[in-house]
Amino acid sequence: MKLNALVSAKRKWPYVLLCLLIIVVMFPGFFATHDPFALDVVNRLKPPTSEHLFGTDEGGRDIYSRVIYGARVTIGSSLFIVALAASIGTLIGAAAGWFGGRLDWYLMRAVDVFLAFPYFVLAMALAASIGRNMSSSILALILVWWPGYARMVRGQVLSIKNELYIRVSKTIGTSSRQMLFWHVIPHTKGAIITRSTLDIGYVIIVITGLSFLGLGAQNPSPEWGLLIANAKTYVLFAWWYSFFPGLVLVFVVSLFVVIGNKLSNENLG
Amino acid sequence: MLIVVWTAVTLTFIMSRLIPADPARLAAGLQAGPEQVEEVRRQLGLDLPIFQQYVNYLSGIVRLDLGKSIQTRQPVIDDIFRYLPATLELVFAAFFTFAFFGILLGVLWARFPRSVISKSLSIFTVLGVAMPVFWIGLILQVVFAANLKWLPLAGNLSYPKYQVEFRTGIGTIDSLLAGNFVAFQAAILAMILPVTALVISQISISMRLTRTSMISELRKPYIKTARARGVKEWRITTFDALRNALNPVITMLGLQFGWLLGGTILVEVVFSWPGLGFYAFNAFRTFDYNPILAITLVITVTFVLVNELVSLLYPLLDPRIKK
Repeated sequence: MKLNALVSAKRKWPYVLLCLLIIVVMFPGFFATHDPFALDVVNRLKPPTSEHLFGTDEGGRDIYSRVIYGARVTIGSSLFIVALAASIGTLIGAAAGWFGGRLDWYLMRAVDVFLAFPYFVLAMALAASIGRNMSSSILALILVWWPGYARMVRGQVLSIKNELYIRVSKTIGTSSRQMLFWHVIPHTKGAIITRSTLDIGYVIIVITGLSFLGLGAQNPSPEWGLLIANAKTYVLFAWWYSFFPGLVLVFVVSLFVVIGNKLSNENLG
Repeated sequence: MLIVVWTAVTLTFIMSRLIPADPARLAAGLQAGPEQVEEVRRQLGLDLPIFQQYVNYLSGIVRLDLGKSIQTRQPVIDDIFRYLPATLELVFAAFFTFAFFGILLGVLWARFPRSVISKSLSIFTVLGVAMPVFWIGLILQVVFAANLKWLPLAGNLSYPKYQVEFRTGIGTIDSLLAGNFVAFQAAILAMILPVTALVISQISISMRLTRTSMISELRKPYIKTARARGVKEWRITTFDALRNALNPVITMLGLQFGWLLGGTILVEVVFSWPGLGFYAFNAFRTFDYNPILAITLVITVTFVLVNELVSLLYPLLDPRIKK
């Protein structure tokens, strides 16, 4: 009994960390030690100490507190992007798979076109032409990310379409729309959640990349990609400035990747 | 394929009209008065109906006329030809390195599942996909350039310093053409860090796929038959299993080539490598839109061409697939 509990605790650790991460995103004030925007020019570019865990940046701001507050910007926007892209993609993919015919053909050609682009370059060009700020990057990434979901959900719907329970439901006179929302879309949930979890990690990497290029968040936002972009100037003498924000980022992304892989293994059985 | 190229062109056109700033205003410069802006607008054909503008844009692309860059005051196409070789140098070096090592390590991982190598690889693949390429680049700079001082911090081959003539724009090839081996060595050293950053960010994917594909291949009956006939284990792995396992890996490598083109932009910014990414980065900062659209177009077309090439490779690996 005790051993079992230990084993399952070992299996649950990614979820425990995820809960912790969500708390940090929701209440950064509890974890930060300093005001992330407070300038303190006397203490600029100081290496890590017990006072400043991750050191200070070129304005003397506490990097640790900036990373904590940046979690909300980076992770929050990635969650938002994946949630919207998944919803749009699911609706379009389900409609294409369920109704079929000409609608399916047109929707899937649109999806093919989007998937034919290298996604980072497309996101970059879109973000640059809509305007250089966080909301344009978010919009660009939603535009780039939904087609993957549409294609996946369409495939799932096509395979569910001929299941017995769907045919039974048809014979008892359920309307087509009702069947789609009650029986078909809920059955794609597992695959969508698995993919979204992995995608949150990947979106974090891409959105920090856009911010790194100056297309996303703008100063003085503590967005992680922007923090690393600012650190680039001081790479020769302030290693902590680029190292710690990146380390936290790698940790967060790998957490999502690990959970995503776990979910997909469980889904497969 | 042509359809994809056409949509790429159309999409860049739509993007160029989405731009919040007025292109005529930008092209005329900050000091220009309203009449001059109107004059520039007429010259650029921006006062024509939108359909006419679209036709002009299409015919411009056919003539390789992609407009002028505000920042360098040169036709964009000339800039592209100047910066593209340096990008291709990085991309190809990284591509062949990670393709080779990715497949090699993937095979080893599949063959020796209980060894130390495979355990460390399984950790590495999770971290590898989680690390943003620009951060890898910065950390490599901190370690190998700033502290150990083994490798140069940034830039590619310095042409004036080594008195090498600018011919192809590819540092390694230019120095070889000049017969200057000191310069060649410098060109190689300058490439090591950016290429390493790209390789680390991409190798996990091909490694993992090779492993999965190899494991399922090694379970098949023909491998058992080969073993029963006493074929040597390394021959089975390399000639029988690997050849059949490569097909999905090749598809993935084609896609990764496209991601590499995106990743190079970030790496070039980190290492101030004078390629397309560096050019794009400067264009972002100065709101110079013609180069951005041109770069998007060039990268997309390259990506489409590479994937087309990959699909021509399938029948060579697997004779069952015919066109």
